[in-house]
Amino acid sequence: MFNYLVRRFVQMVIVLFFSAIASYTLMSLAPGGPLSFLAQAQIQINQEEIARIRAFFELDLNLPVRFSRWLIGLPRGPIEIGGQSFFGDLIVGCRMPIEQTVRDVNTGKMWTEVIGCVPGQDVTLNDLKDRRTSNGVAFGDFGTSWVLLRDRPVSLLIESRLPYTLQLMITSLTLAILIGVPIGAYSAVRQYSKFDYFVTVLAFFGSSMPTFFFALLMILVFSLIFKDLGWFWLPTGNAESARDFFIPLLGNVTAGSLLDKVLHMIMPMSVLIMVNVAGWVRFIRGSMLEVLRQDYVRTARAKGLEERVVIIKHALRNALIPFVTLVVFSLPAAFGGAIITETVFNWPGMGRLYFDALGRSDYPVAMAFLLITATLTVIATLISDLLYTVVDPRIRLH
Amino acid sequence: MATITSSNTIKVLSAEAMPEEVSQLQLVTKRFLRHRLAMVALVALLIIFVIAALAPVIAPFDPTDISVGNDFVRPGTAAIDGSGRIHYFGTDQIGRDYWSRIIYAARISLLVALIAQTISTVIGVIVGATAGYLGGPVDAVAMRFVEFLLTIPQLPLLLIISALLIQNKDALPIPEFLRNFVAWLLIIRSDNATQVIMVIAILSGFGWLGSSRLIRGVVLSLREQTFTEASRALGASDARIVFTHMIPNAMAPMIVSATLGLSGLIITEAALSFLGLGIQDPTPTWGNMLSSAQSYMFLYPWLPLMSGTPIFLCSLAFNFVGDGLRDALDPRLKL
Amino acid sequence: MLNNKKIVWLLAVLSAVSMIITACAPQTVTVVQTQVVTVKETQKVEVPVIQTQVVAAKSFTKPHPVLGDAKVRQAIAYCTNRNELIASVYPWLPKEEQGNLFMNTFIPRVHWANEDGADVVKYPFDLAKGQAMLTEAGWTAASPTAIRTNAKKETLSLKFTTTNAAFRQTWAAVFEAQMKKCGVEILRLHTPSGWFFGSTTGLRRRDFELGAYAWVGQTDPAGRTLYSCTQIPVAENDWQGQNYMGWCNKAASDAINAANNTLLKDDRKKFYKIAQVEFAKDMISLPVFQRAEGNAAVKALKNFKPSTTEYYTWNSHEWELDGGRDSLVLGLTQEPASMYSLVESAAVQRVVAKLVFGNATSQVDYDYQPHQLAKLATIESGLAKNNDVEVKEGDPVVDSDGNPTDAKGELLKLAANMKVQNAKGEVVTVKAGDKITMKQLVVTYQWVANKWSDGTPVTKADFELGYKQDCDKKSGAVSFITCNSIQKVDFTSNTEYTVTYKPGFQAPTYFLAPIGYYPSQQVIQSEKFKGKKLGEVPPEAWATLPEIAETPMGTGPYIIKKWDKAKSITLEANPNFYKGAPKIKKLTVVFIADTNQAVAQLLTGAVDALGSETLGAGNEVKLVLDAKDKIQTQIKASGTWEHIDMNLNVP
Repeated sequence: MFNYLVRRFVQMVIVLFFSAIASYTLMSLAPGGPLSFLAQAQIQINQEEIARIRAFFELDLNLPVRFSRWLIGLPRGPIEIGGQSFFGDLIVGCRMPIEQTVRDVNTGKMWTEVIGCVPGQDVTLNDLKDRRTSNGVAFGDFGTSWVLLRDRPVSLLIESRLPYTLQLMITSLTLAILIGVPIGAYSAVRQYSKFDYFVTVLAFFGSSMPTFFFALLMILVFSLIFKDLGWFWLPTGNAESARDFFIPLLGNVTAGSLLDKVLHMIMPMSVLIMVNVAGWVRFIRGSMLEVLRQDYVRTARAKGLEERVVIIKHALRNALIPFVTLVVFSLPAAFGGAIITETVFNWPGMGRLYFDALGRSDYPVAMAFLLITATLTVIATLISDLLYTVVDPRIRLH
Repeated sequence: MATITSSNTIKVLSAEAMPEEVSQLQLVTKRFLRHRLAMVALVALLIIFVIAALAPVIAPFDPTDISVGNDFVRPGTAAIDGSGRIHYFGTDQIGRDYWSRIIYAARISLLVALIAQTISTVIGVIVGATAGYLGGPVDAVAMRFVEFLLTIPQLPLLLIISALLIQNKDALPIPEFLRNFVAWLLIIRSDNATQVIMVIAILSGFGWLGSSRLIRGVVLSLREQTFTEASRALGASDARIVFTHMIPNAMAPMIVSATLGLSGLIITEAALSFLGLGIQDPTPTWGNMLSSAQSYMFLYPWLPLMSGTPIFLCSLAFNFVGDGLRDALDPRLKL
Repeated sequence: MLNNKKIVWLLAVLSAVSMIITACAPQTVTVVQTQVVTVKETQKVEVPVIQTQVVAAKSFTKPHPVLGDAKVRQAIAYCTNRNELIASVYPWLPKEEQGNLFMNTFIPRVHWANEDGADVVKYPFDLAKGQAMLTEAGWTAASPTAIRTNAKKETLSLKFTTTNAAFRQTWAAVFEAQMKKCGVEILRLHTPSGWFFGSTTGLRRRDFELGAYAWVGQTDPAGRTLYSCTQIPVAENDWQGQNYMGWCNKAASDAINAANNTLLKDDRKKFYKIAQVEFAKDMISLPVFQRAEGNAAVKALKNFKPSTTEYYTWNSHEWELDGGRDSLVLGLTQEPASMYSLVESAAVQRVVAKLVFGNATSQVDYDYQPHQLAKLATIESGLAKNNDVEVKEGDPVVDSDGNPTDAKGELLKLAANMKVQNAKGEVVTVKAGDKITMKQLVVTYQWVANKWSDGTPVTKADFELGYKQDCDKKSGAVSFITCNSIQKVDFTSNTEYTVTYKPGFQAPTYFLAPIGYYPSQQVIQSEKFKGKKLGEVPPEAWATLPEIAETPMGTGPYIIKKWDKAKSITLEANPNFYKGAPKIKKLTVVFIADTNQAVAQLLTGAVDALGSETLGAGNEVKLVLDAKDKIQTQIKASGTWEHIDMNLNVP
């Protein structure tokens, strides 16, 4: 077992390493980038100024060097051994690249490629000495944000969003399990009954409805229309309100109070619960149906056990094991949040942070997000693999 | 690493269960017909497909006809030109007939989903069947690669890639004839077809991951069956065994998962559009119609309702049909 | 900068490599036993060979086969029904207000520099005239609705590139239909703005035929980077400049340069007139409309005076609330990245910055008003002098383009072949050994006696720190054009300093203070520089300080008390504000990204005001307009204007 875990750990690190390379490369290929604002502002700008901005975003370094500095915080300068420094003149980038614009004769498509470096504008290892460098994500330092929280640590951004994401995701996942499991199990026990049909329709309804449509509809009905009618209404969005407000039946709600927070969470939570329950109910139903056909359930019934006991103790418990492996995969989602739901309800969560980071070219933030999610996915895979041995003792870890 | 759908949890029809093909087909058909919801859904889908196919005949208006000042007309209003035609679904912000746009969009949304699903199923089957049957290093390479891709969260990656591909809209060399064919099929201009092909490529590029794992699991279990050993003993080649025995036997779970997948694809296309990364105007799709209508949600709520409903209906119908197929083909399938 | 072929390659290689590596990893929970595989060769991907040509240094010299003809461009203008375009985007706006958005030149009609007389060719919608002009230009149509062709049987079809913003999709669709009526086929391409405005793509490489986008409206009409002959981006000048059309009209170019090298309004008007007349005549860029922008607030808010050229919080010190309320909630579309104005210039930052720092000067209605800068330092007021000086070779100068540096960023010294403006206002080319008489501005800026929000007075040292920091190359600022144009600064008292600019610096906005102030005596509390004074913190570290980025000390009407990241900023009235503490004691800025959500919050009373940066001008505005019993809505014709650039050349 110990051997297995060690091996799995090594494997995880390797997968993550390549996952990081892939994401980093994709990210740096994405057009736009932090310099694109220059085209829209009426300003005169010279090459020196552009070079300075490029250097700020480390765009003057070659991709592998940049990646290495991001990952492990190296190189930070020439290699120093016993007071001697080596490789100080090694070229690792270029401040002012010579670009050439090429045009495809047939399609008219144009692109720009770098064909060299302006003489004397090479960046060497020596030049890296004065730059600020992160310790590297491998050592828990996500570096500084480029845009969203300009020049300040990415971790600050994550810290500010994560509690809200966890709060929303964990509550909705928990509630979805609490709602989904009994419904799924019951509809399996009563297969082809009216209830079963009803649940099926509802489940498919949930998974067929585009989230943002459903979410906007909720705001329209439960906030705007209900408030106009003078009924009990729900706040349209945010995690909490900026000042006290009045709701019929409840009276005055103090800003920042528990009630205030709960009220704000109801709508986004309902949307997420609906989506998750819809996805899970069918799974639980299926796995329950299979278990109910097993011999040991028949045996239990034959022994004259009460039906309730058979279902809950014998059938449901076994049916839930594969479901648990599925739920484990919600772990990355619990961190990553839900982009669309968060956007519509203005929930200050991780999903929106990532979307903003992508949209505004804040790659250190986007990369941090991707890396953490990838890590959690790998961990979830491991947990689910371990759980398999519980499900099926025939599988051995080796 | 184990796969969720490993051989132990997936049961499929084995050859013994199918003594005679005709009776099996009859059995399946009978079971499917009994599934009332699935039947209703199938009929609904057929109607939608017929409408989409006949869009140029059925549409009362040209979907690109603009009439500024005749915007946001309520559903059921007569046309402004006095021709007696009716805007069944009203008009959009520049006076285009919404109903006509919806049925033209149906062609695009449905075809994008169908083509993407077909491609990803084919890739999934080839990769999954090969990996499962050959096992050993091939299996290891293929499955590690799939797992590697799965470590990168889907929607975020989708966002980056579509941003990348759509911005560099000539990144993939798309042959002229393919563009023209798609353009002809969807009744759009061929320069707009590029974007549609890109979105299909993006959707199918991810779709095959799941189906390859599924098929691999099925094949792994089939490999140990006696009929496989028998044909191997008779000297059949690997390719022959895979194509004549494995894949036909894996059809049932594949069809079911493909049908259910269609529902997901329609939603994903809409979500991509919502985030501004899908197929763009002037090519109408349900997704981009809904996403542009969402800013009128509070003012003209029927617009998002009209464009959201077909997405919802189709997705629902595909779900029911898939569910019915599962019950008909093998009620024990867990998908 | 990687091209597409490389992307495909990279992805292929990357996938191959990762497959190999992951395959080498030990296999675990499965029935199949794995072996380690060694793959000897990576797979090669065949990529079709694309025939390419390098865009030569002398690029974009050939006229565009269609748009090179002025007749066609003018015909396009006549065929465009701009009122209909406006109506398509702003259906909720009353007809007469829609008319206010119409433009004939590159300067809004209410601007002091606008020329709207008979000399400016106008292009009212005239289908017949447009069609006739196209026929005259050799583009004929078989039937009135057919796409036109020329003698060589080429069809009249043009690529129309713009971003995928929703309102652009709307008016572009209408524009496409309008062109069709004239027999012009428009191939619309809506790209993400990242590509269109990218640093090596789209506009910057003139990769378009018709390109639609907006210029942000400014109080000063500027325009030099847009229409001067020297500002045409081509390979040989490293794609510098924003004259994406490639328009070089000597009269217009000289006029626009002169307009930006002249100090007096009346003189500038004359130059802008020439530029506008030529602009309209040549029709190289069709102004489509000024954008509308909506600002909304609850009725209870008094003195809510948004202006199109100023952020709506500019007069927050005058705001009052009816009904005894003393707290106000503002909705803001995005969280400011930092309060450090040097590194963050987004509108959302400025909206909050106006609250914290107040106005040195404000820019209401295309004009400047002094606030904490006690007077505009104009020549008329006697605070500025434009002296004649003799300049010899090697002396620091500013050239006739207004640049204190060359393209590489080196500070300019008078040298042969350089173009400068002499004291008579003529642009001359310097010959070796020349001595030239040039104008030199010496300006004294007088400030009110200000107090920081902690009650300590603003001192000379604070201004000195402002100059030092803002002009430090490591401070994080983008452009140093003003710093590089300054010859010397004399800090004469706690409220006054005098700037001597380099000869040749004749920027029309010289009367605005170039140097601000920072609290040099503020003691830093945050970790790294704890106990040090702000003036002792190295310039590059400023952006990382919470005292600068989050809770900066200012002299404005409000003080930031708390910044709840991702949610809100809470501000309190500044008792030391030079005009007295504002009436509204507490102000909260809530971040709401989605416009639907922002409007919903305004309607349910969760927020009290939305500025144009948050409310925008989409159909959501109608919702606010409809609630006129609760909400006051002000619709403005924005200085930001949509236009269609016509690329005059092909590569």
